[in-house]
Amino acid sequence: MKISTRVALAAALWSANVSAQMGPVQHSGNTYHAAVCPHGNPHMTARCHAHVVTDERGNPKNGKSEFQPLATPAGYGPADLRSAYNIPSGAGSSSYTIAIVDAYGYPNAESDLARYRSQYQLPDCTTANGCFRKVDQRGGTRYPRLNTGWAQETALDLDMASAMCPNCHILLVEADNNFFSSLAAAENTAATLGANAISNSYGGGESGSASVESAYNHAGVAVTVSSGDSGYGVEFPASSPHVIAVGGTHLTQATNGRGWSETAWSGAGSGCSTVYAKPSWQNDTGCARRTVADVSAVADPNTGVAVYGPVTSRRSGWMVFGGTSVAAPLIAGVYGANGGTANYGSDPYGYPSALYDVTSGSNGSCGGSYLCTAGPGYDGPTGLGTPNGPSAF
Amino acid sequence: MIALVLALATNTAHVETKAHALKLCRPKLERQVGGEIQTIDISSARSARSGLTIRGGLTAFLGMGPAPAGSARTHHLVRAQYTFACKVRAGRVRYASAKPLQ
Repeated sequence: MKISTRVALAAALWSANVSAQMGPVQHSGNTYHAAVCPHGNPHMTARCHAHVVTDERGNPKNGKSEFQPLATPAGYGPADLRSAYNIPSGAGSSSYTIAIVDAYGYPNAESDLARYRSQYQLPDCTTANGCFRKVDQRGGTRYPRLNTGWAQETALDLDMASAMCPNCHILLVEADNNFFSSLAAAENTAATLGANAISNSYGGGESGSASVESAYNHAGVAVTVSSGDSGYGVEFPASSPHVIAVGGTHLTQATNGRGWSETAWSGAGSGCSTVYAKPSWQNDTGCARRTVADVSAVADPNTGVAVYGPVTSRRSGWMVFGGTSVAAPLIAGVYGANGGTANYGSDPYGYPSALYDVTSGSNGSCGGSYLCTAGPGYDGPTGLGTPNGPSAF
Repeated sequence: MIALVLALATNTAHVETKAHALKLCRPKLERQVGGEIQTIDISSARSARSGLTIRGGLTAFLGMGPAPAGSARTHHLVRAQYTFACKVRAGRVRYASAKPLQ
C-alpha cells in the first residue's frame, strides 16, 4: 500500500469516527452543524460546547464557505434605489435616528457598514462621529455571540437604511437570540433610546405572539416590518396593527417617465391576520382582521441589492440580497427622508397619490383576489404601492 | 433522409436524458447548496458506461429555514452562484457536487 493511500485511509477512518461521535445535525441560519461532544459530561467536569460545521448529513465540512463573495459590488446601489423611489440624495438629517433590531451579535457591523458607505460615497457613519451606535437588548454593551446568518441580515438592514437616508443616525440593537421575547426587549430598548424609526426584517408564526405585541406599539415611531419571503401567508410582527407591514416587488429599469417598473414579487408575504384587529385606516373588505401589507419596495433577489457583509464568521465581502428584508429598512429610510412623526401605519393611507401603484404580479393562490394579486389600488403583496418621494410617509 | 431522421431522434433522446438527469440531480444539488435553485444550465453532458455526467452552472437563493414556535427567522435571501457536476446511472444519482463560483 502506498503511503499516500494509507494516509488517505487513516484520514477517512478518523473522519468517520468523528462523524460517528457527533450529535444530531442541527440547522441554524444557513448552516448545518452538530455538537462535537453530544453525550453530556461526567460529574464535576467541564462540558464541551463545541459545534462543528457540517453538510446536511452531518459530515464535517472542509472549511470552505458555502458561497463566494463577489469581487465587486453587484445589484442595486443607493443611487439606483433613490432614483427608483424618487428620494433626494441629501434627504434626512442627523436629528432622525433609524434603529435596526436584529438577533445575535455582529462584531464587524461598524467596519462593514463603513466599507459600504465608502463604496457609494455616503457620509461616514461611525461611533466616533456620533452617527452610529450599537447596544445589546438592555441598552448596554454585553453583545451576544455572532450568528453569521443574522449578521448578514444586520448588514443588509444597515446598508439599506443608509442608502435611503444617508444623513440619518443609526442605532443597532442586538437581541440576545431570535426568541420573540428577546427581540421584543430589543424593540423596547430601541424606542427608549430615542429611535424615530425601527426596522425589523424577521418574522414567525402569529400563534402566541400576543404576549409580545405591545413591544411593537410605540406612538410616534415608524416601526417597519418585512412581510416575509414565503409567498402568500401572514407572519408576526408584520401582522401587528401597530407597525408598517412592508411587502415586496420585482424592480427593473424601464423606458417610461419614471425610469423604473415594478411588479409584485412572488415571494412577498401577504394576507389576513388570524389574531390582530383591523386598524381603523385599513378599509379593504377581504379581511375581517389586519391585512398585510401596507406598502412595499424591491425584494426580488433576481433584482437584488448590493450588500457588504459577513460571508462567513471570519470573512466579509460583497453579496447580492433579496427578500422583504431589503424592503423594510428601505421604507424605514424613507420615513427618515421625510423626517416627520409617524402615526403608526396610517400615513401612506392618507397620501396614496404619493406612491407608485403596483398593478401586476402575484405571490400565490387565493382565488385571484387582491390579497395575493396586485392590481390598481390596494393589494396584499404590495399594499398601497412603493414610495414616490418621501411625502407619503 | 433516413440518416437525418435517425440523427434527430438520437439528439432528442439525448436531450430527454439530460432533462431526466437534471430532474434527478436538482434536489441533491439544492441540499448541497442549502437553498432553492432558481436557474440551472447544463454546459456539458458526457455519457459513458458508468453513467451520464452533466456539468454546468446554477444560481440559488439561500435563506433561513423555518423558525421554531416562539422565535423568528430572517427575511433575506442571498443570491449565490455555483458550478455543479452530477452523475446519473440507472435512474439514480451516483454523485452530485456544487462548488461556489470563484
